Amino acid sequence: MTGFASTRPSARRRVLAATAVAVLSVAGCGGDDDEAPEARSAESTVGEVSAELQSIIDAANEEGSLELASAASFGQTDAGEALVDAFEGYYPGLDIDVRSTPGASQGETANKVREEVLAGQPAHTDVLGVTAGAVGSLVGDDVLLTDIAWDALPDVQPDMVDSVYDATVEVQRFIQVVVYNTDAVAEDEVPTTTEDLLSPQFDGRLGTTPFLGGFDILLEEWGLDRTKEYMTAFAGQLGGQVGGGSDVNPLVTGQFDLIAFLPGPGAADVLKADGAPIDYTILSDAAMTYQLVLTVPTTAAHPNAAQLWINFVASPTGQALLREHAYMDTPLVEGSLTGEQMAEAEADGAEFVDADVAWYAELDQEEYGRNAQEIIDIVRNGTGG
Amino acid sequence: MQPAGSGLTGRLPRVPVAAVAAAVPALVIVGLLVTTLVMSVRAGTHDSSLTLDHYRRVWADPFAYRALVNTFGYAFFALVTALVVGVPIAWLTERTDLPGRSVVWALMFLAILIPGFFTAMGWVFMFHPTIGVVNGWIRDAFGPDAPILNVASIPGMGITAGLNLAVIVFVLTSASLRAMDASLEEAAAVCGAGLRARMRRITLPLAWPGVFAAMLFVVTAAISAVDGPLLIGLPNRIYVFSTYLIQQSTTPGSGEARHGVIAAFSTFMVVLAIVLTVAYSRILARSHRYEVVAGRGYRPSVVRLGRWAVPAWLFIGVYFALLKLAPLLLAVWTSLVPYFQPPSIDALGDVSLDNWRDLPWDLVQRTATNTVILTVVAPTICIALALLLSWVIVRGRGAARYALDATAFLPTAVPGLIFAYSARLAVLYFVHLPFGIELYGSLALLAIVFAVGSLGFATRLLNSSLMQIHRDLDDSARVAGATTGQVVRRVTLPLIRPTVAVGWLFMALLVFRDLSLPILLGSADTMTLSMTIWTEWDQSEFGSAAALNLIMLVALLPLIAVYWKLTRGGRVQVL
Repeated sequence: MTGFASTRPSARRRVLAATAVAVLSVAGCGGDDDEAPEARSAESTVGEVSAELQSIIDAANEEGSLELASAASFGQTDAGEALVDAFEGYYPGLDIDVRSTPGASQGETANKVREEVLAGQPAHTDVLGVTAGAVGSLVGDDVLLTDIAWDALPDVQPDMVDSVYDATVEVQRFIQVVVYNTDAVAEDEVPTTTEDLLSPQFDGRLGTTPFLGGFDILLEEWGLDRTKEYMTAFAGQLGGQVGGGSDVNPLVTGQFDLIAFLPGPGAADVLKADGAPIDYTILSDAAMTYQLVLTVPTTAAHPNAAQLWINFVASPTGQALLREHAYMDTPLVEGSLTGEQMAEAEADGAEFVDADVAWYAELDQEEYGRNAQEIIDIVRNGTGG
Repeated sequence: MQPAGSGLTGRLPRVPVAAVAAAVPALVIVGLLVTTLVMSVRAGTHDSSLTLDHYRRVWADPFAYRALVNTFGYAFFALVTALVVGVPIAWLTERTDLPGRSVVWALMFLAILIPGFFTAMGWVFMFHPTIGVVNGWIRDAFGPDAPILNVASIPGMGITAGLNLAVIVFVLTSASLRAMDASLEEAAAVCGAGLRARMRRITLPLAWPGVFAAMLFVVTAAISAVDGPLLIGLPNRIYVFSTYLIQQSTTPGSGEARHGVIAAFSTFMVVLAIVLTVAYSRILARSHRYEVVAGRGYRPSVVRLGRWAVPAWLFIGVYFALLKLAPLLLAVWTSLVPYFQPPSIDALGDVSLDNWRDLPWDLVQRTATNTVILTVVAPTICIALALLLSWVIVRGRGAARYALDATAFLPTAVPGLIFAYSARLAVLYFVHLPFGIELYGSLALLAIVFAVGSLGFATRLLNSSLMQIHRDLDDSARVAGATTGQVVRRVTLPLIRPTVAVGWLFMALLVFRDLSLPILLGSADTMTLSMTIWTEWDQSEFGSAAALNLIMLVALLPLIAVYWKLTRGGRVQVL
């Protein structure tokens, strides 16, 4: 039984914040920041309101409310709560009810929205938070609004908007990592390659996310056969899977000693900051990043309020709150923590594959979907006990 | 499943109106099952061509196939455990002189009403292979390679479910045992048959219809249950029908949910349910061979336990301790520590109320409101529909009432998850109500599915009650000029009010604690307290989940107290 006494519930909620929206992921070398990063360059309000922005605010007021499913609002976490609390005050004259509902993972939410849109029903969330790999098929099914005038939103930088569909805004970037308990995994045991995860010493000690964050990048780098072979062996090593929020608390309770294919080091950083014997590593042959993007479903009931939310999360204020509570942001903003971590890893020799929306758009969507499903099934196939 | 009232010849004014109204819930039941069947042979939600591919995929897909095999294994272990525990306790309570039998009833009564996921959480804390407290003690005592009690397995999950469901076996079997005539057993004893022979050749055959009914309930309930499979199975990648259905319908990985495969899988379960229902009907039809209760002099024989009373109580005590007491204590402990750790002197230093203070109170308030609304509305709809159905079945004439009765019984045998899944698909794709009424994602849909899914139970209850009211009372009222409505309102309802009240309350308790339907039909508008607990658990917020579980338990107490009073200590039969 491992654990540490100083992990407070609030810290654990920040862990969830760091991972709540992530579903796909990989990454080398733990960061050493033990202090919560400062909110940098953050303003509490949007600043000058243009006529275009004012019309969106007015339209949002007309809509009256904003419905956010877990992945869009970072769940029932400190980050989610801080963002929701700060959102309304960010826009002068905005007066709407914001309701955030935790529970469903990003994949569940995306699938549900897809079904709702295809059935002609209103989407249950006004903002959809998805990883870059899901965007192509959602756009293909006309699930996402592609005619939003992003330039009317002052905090959405042009390079945050995907260049292929013009439908999404990057708000976080995940470095794929393996997180481990330093009390249970000795320094010389720490895996540095994907092959290390198959070592007999980790048999039954490994956990993973339900969706193998970032595995699909391996699929493209390695090809289907090699990935299948690897994932079959990897599945045999698993002791189980972490919850829908892909959190790292099972490392604290002793359920697992390592969790692989985890999206981003934020969860580990949160626990480290509280004194937990937790660290992370980026696998040298699987150094990759992928985006978390926010987007608006075609049948969102409150599309204007949704745009204001996206703008806010992309803003320096929103990004600072993400940094402070979730330890992850997008490297596209000034003072980014994730940007620093990537730079450190690159200085140590990591060569990242950056899987953004454009990277995924290059893939044959049908083949990609089929192969991805096959790999997920291999790992998910489970046991008979 | 005999239509009550067969052979009655009285008139039923306005039967067509009542019958048509009663046909509505029956049509909903049939419609939902047909939706499952149609989806299993339809190429896609937007492609109406027919195909058997989904059935092939169930067999060919190792994931689906393994889930199917797991389901049977899980149901088997649940059934065996429930029988091994429930039948002996029922026999001890009804047919022996066990001291303190009313205490057993009280314990079993509590056991049936405390949520199943409460037990499942407790068993994870006790018997998880890596974090289980009991397994930790075993390792400490016998070394790291000592064999452990692994709840994260099909037998472990099945036993957990079986211990919960043993209460149902207890209730149904004790009813049969209580109604038995002692004369056959006494005659066997006079002929020299020992206790074992009397049990084998007299008692168990007489109790068989009740035991089989219990088996039917247990298998259906085990297949439908999500608490154990979600809390124990999912993190360990052990899938059974319920978790397969939930995961495939909500998190397909990529692309569209595999509705066809899920429907094909569900169809197997429906066929199994129909087979079990037919078998149950046949046993009931033959049960008259065992009808030996006659006259007022009947009394069941009592076996004197003597010194066996001690091990008997030990058996009951261990069962209750494992089922509820240990989970309760562990829930209290878990809610007080920052992360899950075994109770110890050292860990006392970590005890605090942080988990309680940090609960998402806004969310708790919102989901508690939903839960209360659902707890009031769903049983009310169900009782109203069941009254209509039972009235037509018991008081009506013609063959159609047999069909109505059989249809109303189906929700007893078909896992409620299938109704929920079909309802979700139906309102999403096929059913469009007038006046812009949207059922999808609404609390109304959840209430309706709860109500329809409980119709089997409610109609059994009301059929029995209505049968005991002689038709002469109706006729007398009519002779005095009462309309059918007045007969129902002023004669029938007052007479069956206690049954209605008990049935309503029992369903309310089940709705209050249910996790399976909200998890499949849930939305921001329908999130319930049980879903909030699951959400916390799923995010490894064990302390918060335990705290919420305890809050839910406390909230249940007033309902339980009222129920206890109405049923005179749980002895009034509702199952």
